[in-house]
Amino acid sequence: MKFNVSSNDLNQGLSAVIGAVPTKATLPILETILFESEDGRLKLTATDLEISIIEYIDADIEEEGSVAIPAKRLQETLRQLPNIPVFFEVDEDQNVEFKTDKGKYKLVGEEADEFPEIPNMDGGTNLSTDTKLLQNAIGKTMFAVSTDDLRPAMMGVYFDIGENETKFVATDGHRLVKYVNQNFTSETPLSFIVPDKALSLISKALDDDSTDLIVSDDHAQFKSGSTIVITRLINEQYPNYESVIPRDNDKNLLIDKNQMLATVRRVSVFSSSTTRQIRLQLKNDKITIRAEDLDMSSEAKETISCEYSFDEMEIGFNAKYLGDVLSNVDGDEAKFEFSTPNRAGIVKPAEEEEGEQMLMLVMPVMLNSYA
Amino acid sequence: MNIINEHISFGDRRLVGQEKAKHQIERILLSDRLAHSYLITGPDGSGKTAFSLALAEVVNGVNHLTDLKDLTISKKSSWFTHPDIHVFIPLPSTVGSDELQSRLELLAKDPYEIVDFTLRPALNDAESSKNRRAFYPIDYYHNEIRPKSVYKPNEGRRTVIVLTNVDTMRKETANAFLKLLEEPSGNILFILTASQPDQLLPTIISRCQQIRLHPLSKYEVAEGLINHDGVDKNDAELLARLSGGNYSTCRFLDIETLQQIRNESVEFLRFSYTQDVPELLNLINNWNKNLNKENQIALCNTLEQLLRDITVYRETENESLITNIDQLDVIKKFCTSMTEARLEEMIDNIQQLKGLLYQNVQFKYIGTALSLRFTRLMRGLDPAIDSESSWKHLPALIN
Repeated sequence: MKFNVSSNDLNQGLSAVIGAVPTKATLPILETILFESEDGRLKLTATDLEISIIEYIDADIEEEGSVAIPAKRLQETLRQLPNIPVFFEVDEDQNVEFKTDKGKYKLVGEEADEFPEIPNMDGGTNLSTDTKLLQNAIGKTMFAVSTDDLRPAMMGVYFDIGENETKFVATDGHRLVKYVNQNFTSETPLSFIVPDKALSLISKALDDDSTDLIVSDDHAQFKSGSTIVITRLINEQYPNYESVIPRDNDKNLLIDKNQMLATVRRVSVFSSSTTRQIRLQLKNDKITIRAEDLDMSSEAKETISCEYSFDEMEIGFNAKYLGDVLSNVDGDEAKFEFSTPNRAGIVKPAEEEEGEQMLMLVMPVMLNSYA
Repeated sequence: MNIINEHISFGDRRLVGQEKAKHQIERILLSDRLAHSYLITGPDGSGKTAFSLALAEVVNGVNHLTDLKDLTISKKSSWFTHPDIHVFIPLPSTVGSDELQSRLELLAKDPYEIVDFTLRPALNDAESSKNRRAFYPIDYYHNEIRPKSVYKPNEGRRTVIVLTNVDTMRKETANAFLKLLEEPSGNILFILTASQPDQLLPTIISRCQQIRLHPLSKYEVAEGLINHDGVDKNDAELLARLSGGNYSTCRFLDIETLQQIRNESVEFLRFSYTQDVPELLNLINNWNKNLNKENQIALCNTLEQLLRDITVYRETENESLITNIDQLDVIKKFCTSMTEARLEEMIDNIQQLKGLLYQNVQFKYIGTALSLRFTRLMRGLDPAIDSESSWKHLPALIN
């Protein structure tokens, strides 16, 4: 295999795929990047068996072929090069030699056949969408993904693509995010769970305005511009999340999001470090947020104004979860919906863009009244 | 979907012996009724790991240890690079996965390589005798083993998880592992190996199909040594007799040192008989100086084996039962000239004194005492100092 490539192009290609190279691989071949010539272009592939990233870059191919080259070493060398052409030559024993006008570098590659096969996506369902929309949806939901590997279904974001709207759902059992977008639809409804590591790579790697999706039974492929990301899906039944969202919420509260977030963060410092419990006392147009740590004999209380005109109520939350949810509210005002202190609280942005609906839910904690 | 056909013989490129177990595997593969977990049991060195690796490869169509002919479905050169074959060995708690990696690499080069942390504490230092007890810590299971079982195979037929020496698995890990073993997904195949299956939880055994390997016969070991290790035929036969059915360790025996030690132990008997004190002291002092404790124990074993051969030959005159076949002349001569020798007592003496080595008694004292006793015992007499008053061997203690 012989090819000429500019070091900048190659560097960009490498940094696009290197996210999939595992830091600690049990399979040494995974620490390499597969170089293949395809239709006069250079195809770079990296995989950790869960996520594969493929990137096409322009190169002047002199002789067709393929080889797997150690990723870290190659990238470290290339990063130090200015933007100059690099000439690569690979012999039959997979010895890789690359030359610039001044230098000559040699390293040993691996046979391309030893590289794991990249899943074949033929026969999957094809969809197309706006990259921004996808990145937005991922950014809004990913914080709530569970890390508990005893319930693998919740370790990813649930994509429920329907005929009229698409729901993106993430939950870890303590909080839940449901983001609905009506601008992304499919003629054949389909639903799947994408692992969170793949999502962060996807939102980083996609660089074109539109993204093509192919979904098969086990894998999903995201293609945008010259980059393709293929991820395994989590083959589990997603929990019935609709049933935990309370329906009849008669108490509404409207509040300045930033003010409340700051208050929650301040007060939570004084909460018990094990439970992180804070309590919200709702009164007429006033909300009092308090925390108490009996072990440290410390307590905090702050009262801020809000729009609230229903019965008085007291409800407890975990400060971390409430803070996470609040910081993900778009706009300046957040809308809370409550029913009773033992049912989940719902948080929504006060204003939403056309065709988008965001719903976040935080489970309450039981209060034993100490006041 | 055929995994193998009649023309393919399982493990034909590398596996040594074990014809019965091989046929058992072939029958399973031909009938296309692969279970979800197999437990391969057998004594040390009978090739359990090699056997499991070969099975893992065949299931995923890798043409390496077995010549799969046209049924090869994978392009990978061995199990080591196959993304659906995961091999785990017991790990000391202080070791990271880097060291595991280098051991697996060795195993990839040769499936009979000794990679066990207990038997071989350091890869590059043969002298190292650091005590590294290896097992399956629970974190190792949670972080490394279980995640591999979640996904469907990438390109093979099954995700194969090979766990060697599962008898070292502690109860907590075994119970955690049991959850996986009880409700596996359809595409997974566990291959476990154990030399002491009685140490396993009965719940684990009951969920596996057992495949028993037998100690290799000396002919099988010799054949393996000649075909795969390039050992000369005579040496191979000798090593095979000494191996006790353990092919993997006997490959590492250094035939020259071995020969030398054995010659020296014959000398020891000879000098003891002739009471040639200067030579005897010379020999014992050399041993004391040059051999480390493990080698001194090995020397005692060699001596014991030689005496055992003499005993056997004296009773049966059957050459095929003799381990030290190259010393046959010495053995014959011994039997004819020393008909009175009290061989069993001599063996008892060695065993008794070997125990003292573990208590850090210097070898020169043990060797001297041993030769003094042998002098008498070989002539059919009671030892000058009976074992009840063994302290008399140290003259300083007697006024």
